[in-house]
Amino acid sequence: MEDEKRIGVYVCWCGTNIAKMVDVERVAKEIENLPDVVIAKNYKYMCSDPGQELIINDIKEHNLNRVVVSACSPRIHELTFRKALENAGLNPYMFEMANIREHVAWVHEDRGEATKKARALVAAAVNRIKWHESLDKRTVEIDPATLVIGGGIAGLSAALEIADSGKKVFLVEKSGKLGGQVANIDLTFPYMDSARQLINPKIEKVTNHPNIEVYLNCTIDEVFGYVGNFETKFSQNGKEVELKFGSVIVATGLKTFDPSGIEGYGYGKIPSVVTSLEFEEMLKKGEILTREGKEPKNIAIIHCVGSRNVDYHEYCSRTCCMVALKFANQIKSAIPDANVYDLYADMRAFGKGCEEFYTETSRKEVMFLMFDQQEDLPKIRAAAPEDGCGILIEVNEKLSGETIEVPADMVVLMVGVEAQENAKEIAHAVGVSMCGNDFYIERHPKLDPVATTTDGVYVVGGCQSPKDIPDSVSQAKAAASRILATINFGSVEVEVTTAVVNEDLCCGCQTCVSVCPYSAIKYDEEKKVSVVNEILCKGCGTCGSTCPTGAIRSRHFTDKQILSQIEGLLSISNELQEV
Amino acid sequence: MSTRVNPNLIKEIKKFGASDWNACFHCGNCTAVCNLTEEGVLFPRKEIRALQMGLEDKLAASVEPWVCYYCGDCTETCPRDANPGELMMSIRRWLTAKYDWTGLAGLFYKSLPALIIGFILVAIGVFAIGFVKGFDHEAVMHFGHKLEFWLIISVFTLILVPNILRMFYFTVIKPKVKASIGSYVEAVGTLFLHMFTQIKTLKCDKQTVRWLEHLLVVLGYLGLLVITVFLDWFGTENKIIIYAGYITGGLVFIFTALLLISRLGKEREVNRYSQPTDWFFVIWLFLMGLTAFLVRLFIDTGLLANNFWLYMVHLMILAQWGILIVPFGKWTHFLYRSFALSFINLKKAANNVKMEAAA
Repeated sequence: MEDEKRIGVYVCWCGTNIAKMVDVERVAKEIENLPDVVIAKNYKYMCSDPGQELIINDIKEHNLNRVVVSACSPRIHELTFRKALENAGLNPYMFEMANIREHVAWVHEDRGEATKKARALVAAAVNRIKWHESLDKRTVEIDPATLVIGGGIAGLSAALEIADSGKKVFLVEKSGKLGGQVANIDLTFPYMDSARQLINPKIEKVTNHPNIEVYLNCTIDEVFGYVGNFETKFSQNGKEVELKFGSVIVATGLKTFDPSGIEGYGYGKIPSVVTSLEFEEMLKKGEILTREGKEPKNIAIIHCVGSRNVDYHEYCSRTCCMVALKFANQIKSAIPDANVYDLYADMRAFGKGCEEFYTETSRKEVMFLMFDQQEDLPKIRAAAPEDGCGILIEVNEKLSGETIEVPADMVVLMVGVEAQENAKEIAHAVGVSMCGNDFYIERHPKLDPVATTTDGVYVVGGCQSPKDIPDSVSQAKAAASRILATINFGSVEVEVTTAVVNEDLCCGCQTCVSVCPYSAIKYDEEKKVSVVNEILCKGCGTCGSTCPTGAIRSRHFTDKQILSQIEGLLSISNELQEV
Repeated sequence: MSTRVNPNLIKEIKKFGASDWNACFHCGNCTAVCNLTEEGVLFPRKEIRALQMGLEDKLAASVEPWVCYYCGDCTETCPRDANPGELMMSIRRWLTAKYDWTGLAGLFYKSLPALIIGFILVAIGVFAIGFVKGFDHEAVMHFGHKLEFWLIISVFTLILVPNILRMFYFTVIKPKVKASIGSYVEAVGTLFLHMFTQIKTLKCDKQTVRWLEHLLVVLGYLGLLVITVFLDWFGTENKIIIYAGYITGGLVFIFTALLLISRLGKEREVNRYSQPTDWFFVIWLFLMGLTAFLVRLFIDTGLLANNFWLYMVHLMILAQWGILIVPFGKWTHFLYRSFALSFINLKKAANNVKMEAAA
């Protein structure tokens, strides 16, 4: 039966989405004439239950062994149709999708041309599917232990969530204490709750938890293995530690920006210009004092220091606006007669309760002054004795259009946040990628925000992007629940569309080893050939396209399949040109 | 040259009418919705900004607050409940205090006890003079007539003229507005047009009735002033003058009564936040019209001889009006508003010259 290729083709209308621009009936009729095509149909919604039933019934009735659906993007419904094939008893890889919605109907204006292009794409898919092979699913066992890197609020939350359900957690922290950035702050916005009361119980619980092993003053240099079966080695106090675990949570957090580089702000030169972190320290001590040891009567707060400016960091650090408002409130209650000047670029109050917090603060006699963050930063200088204050800030105020000077005894710079110094090393160790700002990249920014392209490795909290406590904790708990689900299932299915090496053809040049972005290929010194770790391989095809001898083949993306697809495409477009 | 911000100005101006101006986040809806703003005369957002930042000189130089007739559209539109309409009103009170060289206007705005003490002192003075004159009808009425005349002259020369010169200094001289002689002549024309017609109110929405009421009160008041002071209403035998007096007096107390009712009902945005000085102004105007009307009625019906207390009350009201309300109270808005409109013309003319030179 396998010798005879019996292909079914289904052209979807997608309501009017496709049918409006493509003559679906004509496409189906013309495709039916191609060799090996047993049946070609069109239907309003192929992805609907009746649409899938149609395919399943045809497979049984017409004894189809290959199915082409020409509809939307495979990113949306490839899995849907593969399932349908499975339900009909076919191997799910005997399926191919031709995208005539995003690639045709949505981007063209001429119905005739669009119909021709749709036909070409479907013909290409038909030509490709003739060379499809059945592929078998693979599963791997999951080690129920989890490694959490970083002991801040995100790491602690994730560790507790997993440990409380009875699973083992190894928590590795670079510094000598747990708590991360939250341990550095006094009150939290917008409800002015104490940060100590948030973090201290968590630290205590983690330290005493029977399921959590905490390793302080340790860093992870390398993690080996793959989803379900990772391991790492590091030394603690000269003692070698070896850990085995099935999943990894990266919660390495972030650090604050150093404002010394911004010349006009005089940080490090003018004594009472302090960073928000230093100001938190004062608030924690309960003493707001200038460097001369006096209580300041005029305090200026400057937003966006190091953020939202191409010279420093282009992104918004997300928390500083609200921390600045928190400072304004704390100053007003600590020194009621102090004047607070809030120099902002745009007030960003997007979180729950934050706009209300801004409204409330704006009614408290805080002078809000707006400056241009891109072109015209305020200039801070030490004042002369006759000025009657320690510091003067010159600002081109945007809302009034006036150039003004603000007298201050103390200036608080709301420093932005940036990726940790060792972000790159950690990324390399666990196999996650980084964006331009050295924050880690999630698998999908919207639909898969805590997973990464490396299965079993999750990124949570500030290491993924600047974020506040609620967002960090949400991500931590999301990752924990993903991991618990995997542990509960016991095993995980891995992608089978990987690369395979034909050892007879491999010349041992190791080009593939150097190009593989997932470190999935190793060189076997004994056999003198490359070996693919099929668990780590993502099937990206980079190795296959660089292999000089054609020894590496990507399953489901073989040369034969791709070339046939191109031939199919060209046969129709040549025919079109002749017409 | 940069101006230093001053967080205390807003606290000071809050004494002239408390509202939550800190809440403003400068969306500009107030200016957009206002029918009276135009190129070069933008309010109230700009004034709120100057206030929030404490730019005192800028605020003192602005004549825009006088252009506003408080229709309340801005306050109704404000998404932050910052009440820009009441802000303009409060700035007008603050400016009135700022222009006044004696400092009494500011004192009376900020302190109700001071205002009440002022009223009591004037009342005592009036009854003391009555006592000295033995409550002799003719002597007291003669004195009253003289008092009206001299009050007008002295209030004008000692208080109003110097204060208007001060206003001119703050709004035109200090900000260095350079206008030609011709534009000064034009400005005088605008001055009288607006002083007697308040014609700009008609540009506001839903303000026609209020404008008419206000106009009738102004005309009634000015008419009554001329008839009592210069035509000696209480002494004359001329029938025309007597009837004219009744009409003007009637206009004053009937329409101020309407204004009072509306202020009590708070149905208009303008009346929602009345200050003591606002109440005194309307009530005293009402009492003045009413008592003048009654005094002449008592004369005509021969009742005054036995009811001389009525004239004493009228004289007391008149003295309080002339000594306290006219020079230091809300009355001055009549002058400042008209002068502001003519100063705006100077500023516009100066600006045009500057723009042409730049071009």
